[in-house]
Amino acid sequence: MYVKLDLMSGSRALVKALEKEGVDVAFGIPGGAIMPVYDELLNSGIRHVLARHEQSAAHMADGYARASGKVGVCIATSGPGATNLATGVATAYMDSTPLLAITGQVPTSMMARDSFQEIDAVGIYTHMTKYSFQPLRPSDIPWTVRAAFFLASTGRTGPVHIDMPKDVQTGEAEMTFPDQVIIRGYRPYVPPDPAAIAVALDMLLNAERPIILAGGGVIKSGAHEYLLQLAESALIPIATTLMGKGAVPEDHPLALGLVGMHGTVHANKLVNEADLVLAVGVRFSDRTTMEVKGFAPDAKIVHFDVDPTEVGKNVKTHHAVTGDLKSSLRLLLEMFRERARTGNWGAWRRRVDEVVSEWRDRIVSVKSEFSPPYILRAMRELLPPDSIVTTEVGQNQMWAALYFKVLRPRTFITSGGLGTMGFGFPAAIGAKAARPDVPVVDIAGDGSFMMTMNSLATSVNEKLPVVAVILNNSSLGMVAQWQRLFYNRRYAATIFDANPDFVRLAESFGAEGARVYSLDEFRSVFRSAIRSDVATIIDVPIHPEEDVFPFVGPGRTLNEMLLGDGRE
Amino acid sequence: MSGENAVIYSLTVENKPGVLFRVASQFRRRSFNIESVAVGVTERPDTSRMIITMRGDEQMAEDFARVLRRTVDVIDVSRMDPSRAAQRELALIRVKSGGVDVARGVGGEGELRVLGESGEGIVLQVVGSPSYVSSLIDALDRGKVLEEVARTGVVALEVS
Repeated sequence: MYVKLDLMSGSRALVKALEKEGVDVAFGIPGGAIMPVYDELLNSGIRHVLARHEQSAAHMADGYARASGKVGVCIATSGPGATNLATGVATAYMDSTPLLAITGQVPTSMMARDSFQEIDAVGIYTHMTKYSFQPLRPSDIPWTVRAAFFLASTGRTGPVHIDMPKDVQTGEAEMTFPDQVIIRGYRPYVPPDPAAIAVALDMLLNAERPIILAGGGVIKSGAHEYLLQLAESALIPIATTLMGKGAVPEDHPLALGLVGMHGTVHANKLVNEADLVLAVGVRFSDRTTMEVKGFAPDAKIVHFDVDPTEVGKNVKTHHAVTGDLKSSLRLLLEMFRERARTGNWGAWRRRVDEVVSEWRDRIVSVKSEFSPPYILRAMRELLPPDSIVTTEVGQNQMWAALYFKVLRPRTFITSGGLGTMGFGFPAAIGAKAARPDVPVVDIAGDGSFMMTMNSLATSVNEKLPVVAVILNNSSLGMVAQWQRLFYNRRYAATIFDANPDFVRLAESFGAEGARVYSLDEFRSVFRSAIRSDVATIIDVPIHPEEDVFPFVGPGRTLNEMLLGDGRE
Repeated sequence: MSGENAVIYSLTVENKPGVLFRVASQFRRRSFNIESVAVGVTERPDTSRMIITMRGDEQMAEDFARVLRRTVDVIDVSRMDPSRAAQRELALIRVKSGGVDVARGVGGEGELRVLGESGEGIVLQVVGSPSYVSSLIDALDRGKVLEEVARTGVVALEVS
């Protein structure tokens, strides 16, 4: 008697499982050890976007994920594919972006023999993912993919890795696709404790000078509306971390902007003066707190976060509420409304108004009227509110953080934790794949842009037009700024004497390029660039010694801001 | 690490490849020194127990328990109070002639057996509290009869 088995290859099962998860696009580069998966992708409706370097593939998936809220998918081959991809995956891990990274692997019979293009990918990725899987049988694949998406998209979101030995891709098995998986050691749905939230509310109402510090967790959990309602009902000012940019509309009267090394003067001052910091979805990075002993020295810290290991990790927390932020904040807001009273905050409000009105619209220490802050303001005026902006890493990023006002969640995409140069341009392409309906702009520096500029080929090839505005100082600007401030102006390896002509570079890729020398020229070029159907590089030569201020030096506290080179 | 107290973690973990690597990585990243680790399967074949001991202060031990708990393959983490946990360790010790008498002279919570004797020396089996095993080894060393030691690390269960 025959039992007819419905056999399916591992690669078919992988692609089918991705389809079941609703994946519509994957970013990657093929290679020997992942060819069966690529062959199977041809039979699928999943769009594949071909990168030109695996690091960019991961950044594209990252930009896609941050713009859409979905899990981004990137694919690379074994060995160098896996190691190149790793920088992008680590970037996503530091910023808690939900990502699935798939790498090829040599066949199981060839593993641990130093085979061609073999690397211990699980060994590497374990340290930069929520989990790294290596299915050893084709029949393991459907469960593994479901588990990967479950892990990536729940709790504190983050990247997950699947390493696919080639024989597991080609081998066949009967497949069962689970709708649900149970991972015994992973319990992301811990309901918030109402008693803990009540304590937090008491502390808030008893405070005299409360301030909200909103981080990336607010955006990721979708808690931004509750947070804003709370702030508005109670009239509490809101500062954000870099990752929290966009959690509240930055043109809102209660929005203070960024706190930290390059925070706004008013945000840094007011955090410093607060007696209670309601920290929501933040991890108190060293770039936010600066010298911890001087961070909000008079304040009690009330910390809401989905990840219990964040509590007390970097700063001393007086009270913590762990669990899903959206439910926590909804409950906090409800309780606040039931109490129907606010704190006694009249004097504090006057102080907040005073500091904000003094500093809010000021641009400190610029070299000319064509300095980056003015360019960024012009960009904001010309971009619709739902446009997406990504940044590279360095001065461009900090100018953007300080002077580009973000109006909606998920429209500001930057590498905060890892600070990965080369992030912005491929991330913009990924964001464009998620949101073809809105303009996507990479605020770039020349140094950072050059790390992944070969993504121009992807942008043109895949018809994912984005705009890169290169604030071009022909140097590694942030390092040069530190050399000016701390190394006696000794420019060790920071000056580019032979930058390419970015206009002709763009044209050689089939993209458009323009160089502008005034704000008016910039406006006119930018206006058409964001409507162009091909990538546009706008080269903006800026003063080579332009610095980003305010600046809190390393080891300093938030109230020790430099507002220019020399005077405080 | 300062504020040195004995810290005992009891972890219930998945019984599959790579779990010890994931757990050990968390110690390594923080430069925590594992003093002993004992791993064995539990009453369920898909589940193992790891008993890991190190030294550290209270706050650090509690914070780190949360990190271990977050590790995906770790199902449960408990910290054992050293004063309430039954702790046992096994050691096989090769001694020179005369070593048996030295060992028998050591008091404490444990048992001693002579497993065998050859030209290479005498092999003792010692089962007992970690302090008994340690003081026995110290005594053999002081008596200059100690040749070689293999210890299992501590296994522990809470008694009360």
